[in-house]
Amino acid sequence: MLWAAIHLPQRALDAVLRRQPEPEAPLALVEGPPQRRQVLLANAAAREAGVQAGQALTAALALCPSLAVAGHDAAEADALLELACAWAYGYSGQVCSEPALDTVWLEVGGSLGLFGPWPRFERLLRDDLQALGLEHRIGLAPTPLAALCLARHRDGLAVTAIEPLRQLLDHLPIATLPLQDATREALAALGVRRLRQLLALPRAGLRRRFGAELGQWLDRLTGAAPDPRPAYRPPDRFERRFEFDDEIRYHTGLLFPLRRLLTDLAGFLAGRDGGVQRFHLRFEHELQAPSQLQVGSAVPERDPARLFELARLVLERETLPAPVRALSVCAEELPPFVPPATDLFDTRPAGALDWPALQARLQARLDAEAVHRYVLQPDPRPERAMRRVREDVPGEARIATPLPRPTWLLARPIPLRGPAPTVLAGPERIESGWWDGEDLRRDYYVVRTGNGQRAWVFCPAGERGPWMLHGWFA
Amino acid sequence: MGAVLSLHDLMAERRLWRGRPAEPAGPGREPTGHAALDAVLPGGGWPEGALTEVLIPADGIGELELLLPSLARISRAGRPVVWVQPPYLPYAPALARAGLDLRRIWVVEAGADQAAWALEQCLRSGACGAVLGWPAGLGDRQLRRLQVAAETGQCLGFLFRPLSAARNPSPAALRLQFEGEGLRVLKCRGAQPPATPLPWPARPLH
Repeated sequence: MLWAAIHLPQRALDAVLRRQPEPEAPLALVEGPPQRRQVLLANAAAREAGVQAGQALTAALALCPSLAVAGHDAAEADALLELACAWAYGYSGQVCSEPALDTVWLEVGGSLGLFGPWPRFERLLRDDLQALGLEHRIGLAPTPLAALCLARHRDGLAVTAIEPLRQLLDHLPIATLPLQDATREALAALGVRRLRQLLALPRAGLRRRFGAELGQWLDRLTGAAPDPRPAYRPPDRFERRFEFDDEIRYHTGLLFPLRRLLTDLAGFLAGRDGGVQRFHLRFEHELQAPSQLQVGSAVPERDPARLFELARLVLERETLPAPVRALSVCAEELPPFVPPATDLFDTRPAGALDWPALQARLQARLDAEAVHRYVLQPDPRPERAMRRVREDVPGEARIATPLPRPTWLLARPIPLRGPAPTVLAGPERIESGWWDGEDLRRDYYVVRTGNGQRAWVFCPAGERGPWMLHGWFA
Repeated sequence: MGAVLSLHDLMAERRLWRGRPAEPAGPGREPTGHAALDAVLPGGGWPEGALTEVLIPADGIGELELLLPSLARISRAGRPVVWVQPPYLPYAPALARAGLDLRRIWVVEAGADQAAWALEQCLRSGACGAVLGWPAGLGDRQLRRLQVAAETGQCLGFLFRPLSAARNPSPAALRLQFEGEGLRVLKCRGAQPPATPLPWPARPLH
């Protein structure tokens, strides 16, 4: 087993920064009672201005007047860890996480054949984490805890065998280990500075001073004892919410967060090797029930640009009923994704779509019902001889019509106006439908009008007029 | 004249009129299915990747009859044929009788204000074999847009417009007008339109 630990030292801050249109502007995360707010985390720009963790908010604001301030939201930070797990699941089947340690582990021993060697794999991981907007440190070791210790000690340390790992661990300072503060201070008071000294201490004495946990922790760290952890299991649905500081009145203001949410969705789908055919955009309003819009496509999709375009078209079609406080994306059905097969020597112009993609685009802007086709129905009544469908139906009927039929049919017959037409063919009597109450008894004729048009007209059975126009032989 | 143009390319693009009727070429890549019409059209068929305008005095004059052989060929080749905002219901039994593959015939009900957008999307996408449109009140700019879209998507575009549109110029590569018992070629890119209308025979009933 080879574990990569991805340590996210400031995931709570990253969760807030991901919402900001300008993540480079100074920003600090604060917590504590309103009178005594303290800086918990600060981003690079704020740190440069002198803002530090543990500072009072007033002091931080004095140092950096343009500092933006956000409250600490543990649920949001945990959601981000969940997202990181979903992303990591795309690289390994064995993923686990521990919120208390701000870390996601993935077993990479089995993935190196596909993504490796490790330096290339590591670059892949780092590029993705960068795109996700996550500040990270990565370590690689045969045990999860050792990987985390290495990552905390120095970013990018990688050890693949137990023996060199022991040697490396010996040199680690106690101060960087993910131990409780009390334990760390007690060890410092004992004069234990390096892990080597701690490992050399007699276990019986350690147990008396610190309880059994520390000894077990050391065994798991060095690989002397197994370290079982609950594996991450990807959820069967996707839901992500984006809350705004101000109300958003126009849909242009929703496009940036929407793109962020859909990129998350695409990452989640890639991890599951799934696609999405239908998802909902849910808008929360002040003093009003939430509204929602459905976005659909003809085939499962997972390309973030495609998803964004479909959602944008739907968004532009509708007007927002009220200013929006929060936006969420929710996908319930996640069918398997089959990438479209393309020809190696494809001669179609660049930027060309295939029909399902075009259909999805049209349906997104117009309406799901707006794009359809017809299948034949075994019914002699002209109005019922075809039925509109939106996708392929199994066992499509092939029905041969023996007599001439017009290429245009009027949805509703209208009286034929103008001078008396000349009859070209007919009558054809259609008499049917007594069983469902929509029975008709008509004689159909093909006639030529004064303009040279050829029309399909009918009159009640046995009569010659007045003519009702039902179609054109165009 | 900075750029050096290949004469052969210009000929192939049919942007030059050579002053004499071109020697009868072999069968075109997009034949209309009507021998008399193929004979007068340069390239022996519909202009590829371009708009064709069909000007009709009234609905039901034979405008679909003109296209049915091509549509049958395109749909059977597995390429979608999209009807954007048709004025009536395309009647599937008749289309099936004419040999069209109904699985490839799609209707887009865009509404009057979105019809031009839908037309452009379909033409531009490169997904369609042919796109049929019945746009109302298109300006010159929009027509030009559609023509560019058809070039981009390498798609056959057919616009059905009233006779009154014949008075205005159009960027379409081919303009056909129904006239009494005949079919007049108003404009065809790359050749002189014939002086007299083609006799348009009485059509078989579908």
